[in-house]
Amino acid sequence: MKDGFRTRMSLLHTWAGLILSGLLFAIFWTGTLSVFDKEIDRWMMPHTRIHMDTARPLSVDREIIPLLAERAEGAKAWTIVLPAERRPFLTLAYDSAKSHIAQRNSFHPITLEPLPAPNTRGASNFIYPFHHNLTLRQNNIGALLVGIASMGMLCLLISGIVIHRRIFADFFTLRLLRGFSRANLDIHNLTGVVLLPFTIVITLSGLMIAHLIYFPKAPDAVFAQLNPPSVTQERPKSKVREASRKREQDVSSENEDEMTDAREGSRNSPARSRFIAESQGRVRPQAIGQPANVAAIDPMIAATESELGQGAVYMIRVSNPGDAGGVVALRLNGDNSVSQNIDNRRFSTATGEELAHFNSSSTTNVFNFIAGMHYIKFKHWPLRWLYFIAGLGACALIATGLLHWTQARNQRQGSTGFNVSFMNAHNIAAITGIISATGAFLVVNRLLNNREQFAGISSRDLEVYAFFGVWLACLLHALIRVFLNKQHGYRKAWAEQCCAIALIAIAAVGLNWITTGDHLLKTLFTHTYWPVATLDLVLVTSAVMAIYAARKLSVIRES
Amino acid sequence: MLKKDSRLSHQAKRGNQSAISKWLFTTGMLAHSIAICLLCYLSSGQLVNTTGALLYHMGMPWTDAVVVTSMLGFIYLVLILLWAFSRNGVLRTWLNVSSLTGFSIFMAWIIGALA
Repeated sequence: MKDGFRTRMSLLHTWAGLILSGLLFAIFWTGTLSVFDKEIDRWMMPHTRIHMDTARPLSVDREIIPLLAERAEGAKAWTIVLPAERRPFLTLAYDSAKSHIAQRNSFHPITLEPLPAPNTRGASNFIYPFHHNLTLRQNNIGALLVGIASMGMLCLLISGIVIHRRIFADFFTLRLLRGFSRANLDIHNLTGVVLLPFTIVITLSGLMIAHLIYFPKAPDAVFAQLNPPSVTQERPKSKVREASRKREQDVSSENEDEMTDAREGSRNSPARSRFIAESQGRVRPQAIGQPANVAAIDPMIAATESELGQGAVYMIRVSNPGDAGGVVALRLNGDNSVSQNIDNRRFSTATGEELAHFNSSSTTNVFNFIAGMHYIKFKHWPLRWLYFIAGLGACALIATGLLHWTQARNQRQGSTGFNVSFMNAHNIAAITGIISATGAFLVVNRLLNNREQFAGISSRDLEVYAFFGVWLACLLHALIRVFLNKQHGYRKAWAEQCCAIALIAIAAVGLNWITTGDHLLKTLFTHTYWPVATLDLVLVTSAVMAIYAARKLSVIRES
Repeated sequence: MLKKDSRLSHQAKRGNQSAISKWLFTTGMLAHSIAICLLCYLSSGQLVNTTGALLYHMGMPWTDAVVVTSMLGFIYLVLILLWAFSRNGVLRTWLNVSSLTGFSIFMAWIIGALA
């Protein structure tokens, strides 16, 4: 019975791995890059490479409100995101009488000159969304696929432990010089064992933060106990749609939008809306129709920061400015805590009086801690790097698992079967394909150099087309190589795609130098700017590793 | 054919089968696996609803009950999936998972009716 259980877990491990690992690699790869999404943004948006060392705290009343008064007349909400180390510019967002869709403007944190519009999605608006919804937002299809893959990852991790007979011994075993298959399996076992706490926590937290997508009926089921004749029956469907529409048209910061979408999906039932309002304090204040001036906001920030520390406020949201029922909500950053900070401070727009502020419950704080572990909003560079390294380790775990299956069959039956050839091509496209695609995303960004459009297509879209185009090209290349030569074609494809990664990485570093003048010597030594220098260094390191891998693969092929 | 190969651990016996039989077997197993996963998801969803309602009746604020039960839901789901795929034989898997799903739906219905 014991052996039978292990055998069945082994089958589950193999099949779940074969079916889901390609998707899992893409999710973990983009998740790992998202750890440094703001830094990649600085690389992709050269006009935002601003040193914050000399920046002084801005006065909202004297410097920011006049900017809003010029631009946001008649807006129902203003959002002010203050400059910070990882986001070194001021952002103002506001709707208008013509459109509910928020208009965003960025300003230099010192001169307050408007910055050019970023004609790129950057990592924050492409790589990060790809991580949690594969950029398939329609009906949450992407988020559901990510959820299926994540649940598969949990099953893989637990079944991996069950089938692992020598879990303690393998912790100390790494035979890199004993042939590729042995080294590959050792790396798979080692990363699996060493990173087990990380992979379980990151996968489970990734699922839990989107619980409203994966268990959408939970709030309705519990709310029905609270109020049996149910609000869900009282409100007609049109109101539900109206509430949903209003929420989607909300003016909010880009991070808030992304995190909200990631957590809740796009549609809310009344019970869900009430759950969100009560558990997270997200209540929309209503205008009462009496005109009033906006009270001074600086004293509100000073009062909050005197209680919570300098720089505690990162975002100010003014709902219904110019109305007596307006509310100023100060959102607090989570620099000093793993847990997400959702306890806002609220003030009356008209009088400046402090209103009752939201305090989350202990249970919600547990949830906020779990979410905070996944979102990594805290300010701790060594820990951020550990996340990045562990993320790369998880990618290696998935890649070596895929390679183990094909490698065993390539050696045994000369890769003549369709299934083995298909998996060979799949592995190449899933691993080197997405890495090449990410490199192409960066290269096209620098080639377009913040141009609004090229050949009639917006630059924002062209970068994404380049990403998917290169990924597709890698898949076609792998299929052609593998099916033309089932015996050794896969090695040729691996080697060629490794060369492509090296070329793309070097091209990205070179293009960054040519288009911005920020070469490595400058960003490292003369005008140190770590976000750009680090990304360039990572690209150079990737190129060196890819060349080494390509050379090793060529040697194996020739021998 | 599914019956013949109902034990997943007996895959090695299929070595002498034709390519079409192998593909049919693979497709059948895939359909079986997808259906089992859907049933597991359904039962975990119902268990989430039941647990949430129970927690609320045990005195937890309703928003906290939703948070706790949703987080527990992922633990339920992974455990149910592992349990389902550790069953010996297709028929036994269906019997066990269907029973669990039926039980969880019944529990959720009872809790709903008691509200």
